[in-house]
Amino acid sequence: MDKRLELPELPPKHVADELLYLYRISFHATFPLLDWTNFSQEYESVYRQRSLREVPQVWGALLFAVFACGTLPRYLRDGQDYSEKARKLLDLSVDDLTLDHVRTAVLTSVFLVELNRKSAGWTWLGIAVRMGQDIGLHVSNVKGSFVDQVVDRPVWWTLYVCDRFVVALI
Amino acid sequence: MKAFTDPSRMLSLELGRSAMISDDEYEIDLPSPTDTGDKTRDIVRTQSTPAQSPLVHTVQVIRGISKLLKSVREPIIPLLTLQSFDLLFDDCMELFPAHHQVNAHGPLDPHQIPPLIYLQNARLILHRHNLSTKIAPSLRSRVADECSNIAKQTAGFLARCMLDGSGLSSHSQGGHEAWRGPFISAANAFLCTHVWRCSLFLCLRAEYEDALVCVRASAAMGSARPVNVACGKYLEFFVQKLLSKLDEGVNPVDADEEILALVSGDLQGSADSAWVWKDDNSGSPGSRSTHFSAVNATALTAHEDAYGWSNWDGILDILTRLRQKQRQRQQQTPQQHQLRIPLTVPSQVQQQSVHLASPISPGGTETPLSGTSRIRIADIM
Repeated sequence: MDKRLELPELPPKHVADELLYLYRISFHATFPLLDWTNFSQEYESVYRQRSLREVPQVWGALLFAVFACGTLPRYLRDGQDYSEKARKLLDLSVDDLTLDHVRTAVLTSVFLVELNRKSAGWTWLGIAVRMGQDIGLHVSNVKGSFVDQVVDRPVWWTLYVCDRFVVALI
Repeated sequence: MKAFTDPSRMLSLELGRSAMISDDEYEIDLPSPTDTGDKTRDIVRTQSTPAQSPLVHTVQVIRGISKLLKSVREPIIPLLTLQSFDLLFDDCMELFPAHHQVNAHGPLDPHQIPPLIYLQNARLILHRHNLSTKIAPSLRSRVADECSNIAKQTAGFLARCMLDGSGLSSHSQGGHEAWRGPFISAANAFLCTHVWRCSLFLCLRAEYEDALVCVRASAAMGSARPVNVACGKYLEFFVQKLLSKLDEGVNPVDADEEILALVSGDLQGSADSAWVWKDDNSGSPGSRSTHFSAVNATALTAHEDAYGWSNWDGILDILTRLRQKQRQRQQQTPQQHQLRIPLTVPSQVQQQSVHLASPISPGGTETPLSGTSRIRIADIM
């Protein structure tokens, strides 16, 4: 984690737990973007330390993007705040992009679209697609182990659905 | 893996934006029905019943209708093209489990309906595209009928989401509405706009029972999404306008161009599909203007105004009364069960200010009364 960057304060654990639950029963139920076992283990570790310092910066961005989408089922007002924090943590200038970069970008797109900010959502979807293509998400059949495909596949197809249909049709 | 030819130009269905992902640029397996994205669970999966991810159905629907995007560019979609796409949609529906079919019964998990709604919306958009002054009024009526039929199917899915475990509707249980929580958690902006589109056609076709189902769903979603508030405002305006036209004696009401433009909703907000802005005399597409952004701005309320309106109960009240009067009329004269009942605009509706400015200029044509007798109902409220 880049220690020069001011890290956002984590919401209280009971709030965070609820947001993760709401995210899981809503968006994740249809688009399983996250490796939930891994993600929740990391989440518990972060909250034990009450800090994002020991995790990659992009993971912190992903966490807040998940929080933002978790506010949607109960239209909680803090969603925009969480989304802004996620965007600040997501460094678009890095060259070593990861799956978490793609996940964060597509969740940011989804959140903005749900708030009827279609142009901003479309822009972030473009970022997510380019990131996904950059890390070779679209050619998982050519590279990668079975494990990679299991994890990569839902992410790619979520990008595909958003690109072709969801953003276009609302 | 690639079941469909990729059109050379891929256009998004409504916004005129191009898709970024081309079907010939990826090599990745389609999602598995048991994909959860969780490598630990997937690797150690046992012989027990696997989880069913809706993602696989969603992807199948999306890929199956990719060709749709190119057709929607044309001013009028030929009948044969529509029929071939209807067959394609039927093929897509066969991929869904029996429980998800249109004619199935019993409670439906709202978290399972997104791919169904994508399909329903694609069908609606496709048929609605031909709702234009470029075709004869009789054909427009047929288009409205088809859209209404599709909307009735959506209402059917929504009604099943409102059933409890024993299959009873919430309205048969004195108002107990346990369906709301799961429904709201499954809701999204896409569902809000699709249900709104359905409500418009159902109101036009006096399908009040199904319209009530759709509006109840919209009311449940309430202010959960800013676009749903805008949809509510628009629907309120449309119902008022529709009642006004019926009260004036416009018959058939779907021949009225103002109603035609309004029931087509956001079709008029797209540069590629809108016809209300174009010069009727020239017969050629008009120049793009700031009207498009103005329509989008008014039709889709800014976030700052998103929470300023909430009159779903008012719309429900009007539709309930319309349904009641329709049933009374059907009991009195069963052979006229297709009658559309004109009403005076309810007084409380007249008092409510309409926040949404009409996106079109007046210009609907008045049609002479048909030979079918009509009932004027005054003081209904």
